Amino acid sequence: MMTINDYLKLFDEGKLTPEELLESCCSKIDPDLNAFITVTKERARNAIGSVDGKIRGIPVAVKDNINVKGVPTTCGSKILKGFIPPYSATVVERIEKEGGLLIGKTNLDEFAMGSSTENSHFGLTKNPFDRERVPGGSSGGSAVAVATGSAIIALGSDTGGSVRQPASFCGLVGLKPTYGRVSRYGLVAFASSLDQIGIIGRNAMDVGILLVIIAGKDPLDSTSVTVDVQDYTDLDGSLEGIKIGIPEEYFIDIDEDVLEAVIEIKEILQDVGVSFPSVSLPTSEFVIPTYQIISYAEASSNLARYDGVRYGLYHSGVNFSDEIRKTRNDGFLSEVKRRILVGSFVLSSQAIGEYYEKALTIRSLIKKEFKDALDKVDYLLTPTTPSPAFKIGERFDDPLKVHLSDRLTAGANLAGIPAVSAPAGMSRNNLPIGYQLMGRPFDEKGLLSIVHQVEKIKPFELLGE
Amino acid sequence: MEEFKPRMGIEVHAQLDTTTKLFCSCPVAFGEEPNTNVCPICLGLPGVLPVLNKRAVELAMRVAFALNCHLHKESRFARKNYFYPDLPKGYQITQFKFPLATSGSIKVDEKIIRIKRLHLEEEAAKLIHLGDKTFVDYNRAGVPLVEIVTEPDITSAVMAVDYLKKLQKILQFTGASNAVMARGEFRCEPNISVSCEKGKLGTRTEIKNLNSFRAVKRALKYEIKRQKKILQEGGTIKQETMRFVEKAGVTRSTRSKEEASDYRYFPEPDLPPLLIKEEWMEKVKRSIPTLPEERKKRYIELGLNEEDAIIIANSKKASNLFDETIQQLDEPLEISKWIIREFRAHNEPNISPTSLASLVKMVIQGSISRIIGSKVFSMMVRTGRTPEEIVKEKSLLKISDKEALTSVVKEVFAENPEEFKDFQNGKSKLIRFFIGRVMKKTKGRANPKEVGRIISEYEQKH
Amino acid sequence: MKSIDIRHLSKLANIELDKKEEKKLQKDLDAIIKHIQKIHEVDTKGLPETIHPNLTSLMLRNDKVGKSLSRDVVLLNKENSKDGYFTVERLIYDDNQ
Repeated sequence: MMTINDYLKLFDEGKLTPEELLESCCSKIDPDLNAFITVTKERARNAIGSVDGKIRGIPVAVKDNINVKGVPTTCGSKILKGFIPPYSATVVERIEKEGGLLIGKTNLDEFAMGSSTENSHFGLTKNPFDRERVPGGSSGGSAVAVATGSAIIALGSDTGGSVRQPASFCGLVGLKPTYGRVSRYGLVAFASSLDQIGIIGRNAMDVGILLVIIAGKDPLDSTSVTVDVQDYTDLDGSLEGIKIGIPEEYFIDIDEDVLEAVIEIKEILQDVGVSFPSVSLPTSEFVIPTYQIISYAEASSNLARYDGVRYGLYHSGVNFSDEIRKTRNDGFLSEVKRRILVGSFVLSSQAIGEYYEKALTIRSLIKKEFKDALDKVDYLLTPTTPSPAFKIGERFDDPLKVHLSDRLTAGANLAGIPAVSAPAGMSRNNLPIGYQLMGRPFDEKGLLSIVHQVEKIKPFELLGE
Repeated sequence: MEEFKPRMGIEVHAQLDTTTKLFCSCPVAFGEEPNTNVCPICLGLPGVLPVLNKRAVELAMRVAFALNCHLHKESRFARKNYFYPDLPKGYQITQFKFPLATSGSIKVDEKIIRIKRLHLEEEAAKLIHLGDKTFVDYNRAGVPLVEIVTEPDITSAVMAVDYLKKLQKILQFTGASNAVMARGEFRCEPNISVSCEKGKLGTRTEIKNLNSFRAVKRALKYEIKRQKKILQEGGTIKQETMRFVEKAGVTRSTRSKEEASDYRYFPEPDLPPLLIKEEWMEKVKRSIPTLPEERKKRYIELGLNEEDAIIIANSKKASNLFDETIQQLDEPLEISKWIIREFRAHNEPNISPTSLASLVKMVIQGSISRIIGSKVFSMMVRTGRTPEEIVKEKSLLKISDKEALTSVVKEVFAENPEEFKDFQNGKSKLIRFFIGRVMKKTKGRANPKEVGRIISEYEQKH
Repeated sequence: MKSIDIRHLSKLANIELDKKEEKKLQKDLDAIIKHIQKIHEVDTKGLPETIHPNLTSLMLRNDKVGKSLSRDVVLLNKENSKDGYFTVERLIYDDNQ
């Protein structure tokens, strides 16, 4: 499988030029899949050769809730109509400094709220493995861009699984780093205490290469941490003696195909000397309601700035209150409205103790359970989602089904720990299945090492390779 | 008839005197072109995050110490959610459950007023209401504020104003805020309740739109009277926000944005808790300039009378100039006179302690007269030059040379033969007349004592 | 379970809803609230609140001026600006007018 390093080698040997690679990527953009909201081919072409960095000439797609100076940010919403950010996110600056070419802004569920990339003002994105199915979400556009080869690698954001879940639906590696590992400056906030910028790539090495570039303390993000950045490309360390826990709660109500695929990953790892003690995370069934309360509450506040005064959509009215209410009604789709309304409710004076504050204490419990488990074992292995990609429309606009596929991923966000999803195989009806590994804070290197070594034993067929 | 007693608490917002805003590096400036001191952060553009200004924390810490507060080693930020065009993010970053400091106290009119809490928060944008539009200028958005809240320990309008004046001085002396009320750097919102039962508080109202100490006094007096009247007539007070209407001198009920509101405070996820270590606390404590009361005491010990000591101690600029000047010239009494007469008469200009010290020294040594000294002071203020330069350039040194003075005296005698005759005939009080003439002829430069001596020699010769 | 007051919430959140949408969202919200009530089954007595997943001490910034935006850029994203100001429908009328 081609890695970023292989492309760089081809450039150096004169067998491929960045222009040719960019052209090839752009030619693979399929309007029917609708992975991109904005394609920035010109910008990418102009950047070729301007810097000689770690990913010079490599086309990178960026989820459209991460700011790129001078390129519209839409967040998949009507409310940001006409908004052009005057600054770039820290991660984007770092990528451009290392010679990465920003090829475009990818589609997403509005403000990253959703798991299917159906909730976008710019239309839904389709899964390239089966066009009647969703690509997962909310970073569905980024996953499809990488899966189809329209980008070599992509940035997403993961609040409850939004990087891992589309990666698993599209047969890719998706990493959600430890909370604070990567700067959030320039990522349009959904739920600030859960959001983390993540990477979707074709293999563990590519993800590691990009993580080295974007990880690290940022003076513009008070929640980013000073912990040393490791060499995430040094992935060949021995796995012998490593302990990976299998939390039983994460194997309830899982599709048979998915179970089988994940068990196979377990067996592969057993063969290289990994042991699998069983562990328990009894609070798992409360992960989703806790996640909903906290993320909706923060979202209701984070999305309050869209009032039409300084930027974006604006509707005139008889007074300010009328202006803003019309603007927000027209600007948001119903999933976002629901979350804002429920978020306002759980923070309201009559409900805050019963819901929001209660959820914060359950968060402590969940965090402690993960810590206790990860004191016993080095990593946790689970499926990424209970089933492969579901049908378009199957769960659309249904507030109770919207979080079904976040069930196994949101825990890592609540606990702030790193987690990765990687290909485990294909289902009977030929859809990718992902397995998830979670680890201790700041052990992204360990997670990627395992994925890397599984890849060597069980290579995954990418589309069009 | 029952006696209704008023109880008041006051919330003060003061702008901290920092170079940049609370959560971004935009400059804090007054009177600039609209929307020029703004950046993605203070405009609340999508994707931005706050980073706390260290200086703002230190200035708030100074005020907390000056008000004898308990400073918390861990405090937290929270979001206060409401919609208004002056609030770029749809929420204000403030402190709620875990403020920077609590439980302080301040002595006013020989009574203790308890300080309930003190916390940091960000300022809103400036709104201008004109025609059928409201104009928004975000230059002010994000300027650091310290909010200081008292317990309802204030019992009269006069006491309220005395508290505010004292607090204003503390803010100015600690260097925390310029606290100029007319510029909105110091704003207050009193709350008032009236009750006849001892120890029990009545329903309270809040008053807004108070732009001067005079307005505070008038508004409080009016509001106390209004509440008493309602209660005496058997009515009940409605808990609400009042607005002071300056022209009419009355308070009026408002239906402001707060009333129906539920602020939905919750911890600010973008800012971890603010931890303050012991060492930092001590360092800040040591950096606090002394307050008026201590200064006054020290000045009296230096020999100043109480009145002068108070005048100097109550002005930060005068007091600092005095302190620095006496470091260079150990003449506190003489220096205090120059500060009280000249420095204040010139509206507290920027002059260096070195210049003031050398000016006072010249006067004490008699090398220039007091009158010339006063002129030199004015010129110092006008030109910014040192007194030495001015005196030299304008040849203002006193003429003490006997020969030179004698010839001027002779000129004066010759010009006033009648008076000279009378003087020689024993009308000795004419000596003042001649001294005056000599002074006038020398434009004040003659040493009057020496002139007197020369003139009286002529009297004795006779 | 008591139905939640969607009118009050839409006011708090400043989202105008038409009758049809209000009805639908009322149903949705009641379902969501019913679902999240599950958290009350957990006993969390004595547990602290977790707000920041990986707690660090707050970093502070020195009080140094950085770059502000030029006003053209500031107003770029807004059509309804005037004389360098953002504008909205008038908010307050003075008592004296």
